[in-house]
Amino acid sequence: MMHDNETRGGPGRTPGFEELDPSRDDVWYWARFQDRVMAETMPELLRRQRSARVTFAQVMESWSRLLVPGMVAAAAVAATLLLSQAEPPSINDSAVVLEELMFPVGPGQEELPDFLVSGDALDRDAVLFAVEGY
Amino acid sequence: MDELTALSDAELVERSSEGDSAAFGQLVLRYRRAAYSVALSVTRRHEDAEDAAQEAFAAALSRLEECRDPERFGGWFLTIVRNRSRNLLRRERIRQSEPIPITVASREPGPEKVSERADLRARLRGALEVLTQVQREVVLLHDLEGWKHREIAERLDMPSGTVRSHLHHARKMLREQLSIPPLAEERERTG
Repeated sequence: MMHDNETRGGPGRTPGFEELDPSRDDVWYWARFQDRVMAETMPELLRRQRSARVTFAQVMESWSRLLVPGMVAAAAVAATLLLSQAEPPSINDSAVVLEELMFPVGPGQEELPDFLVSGDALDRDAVLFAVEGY
Repeated sequence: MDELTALSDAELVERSSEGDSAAFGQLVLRYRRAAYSVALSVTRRHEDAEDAAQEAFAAALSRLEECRDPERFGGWFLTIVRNRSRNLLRRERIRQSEPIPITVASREPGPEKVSERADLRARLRGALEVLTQVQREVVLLHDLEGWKHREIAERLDMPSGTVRSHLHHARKMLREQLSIPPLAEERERTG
């Protein structure tokens, strides 16, 4: 929609109303008015210009300032953990460790419990006796 | 500047919101007279109308995001003008309790016209005083700024028929008031 309020404005249609027009005897009135408004609003316009200049790249850059150090730190921690971690035990080793824990074979206990030696099905009472001693 | 003149209010609002001073300047250019007229219809004093209109532009810029329909910037902006004017008037009334007459900018007219124009201004002031605020606003936008009924209806957010009705009644009252000869006025005052 085209607007021409300014160019159409001026002397009123009703005789006498032009007396209320501030520019009737002061042709520069509206120019001064415009200048004052623009001067008053300049700080806000500048603030908006600065906000509008924030481009996608700038947004990514500002994000990268947080993300990159975070990712580097996370990678360093992960690398440290990987390097310091011992070789994970195999499934068989784990089973042996578990068995050793359950059934320690020390200097005075060279022989395996009977319930392990026999090929019969495990007897619950025998297992409990061997492990807990009752 | 020609390019800006062809832009719609919505486009100017969008550019202004990004800090485009030329676009905002075009909005000021487009609405400064209307802002003054609306402010004058409320404050009825030139100096206050000027202040309110200027303040309204600054307020509108800082709250541009609140303009939900930028194509109807005019109506939204004139509401700000009206509210600013009322606030200013309220402050003035608190400061001084005397009635506020309609005054115009101080000027230096030619000596041959001084008396005639002073008389016309006085009669116009008196005539406008009897109108309601809405009637003053409509008649000033139409008869001082030259806005069409449709434009006033759009910007003041009222049906075109209502604008015509306000204008009709306002003009009728103005005619009645302005047809009173100054001498008769004087007689009424002194008699």
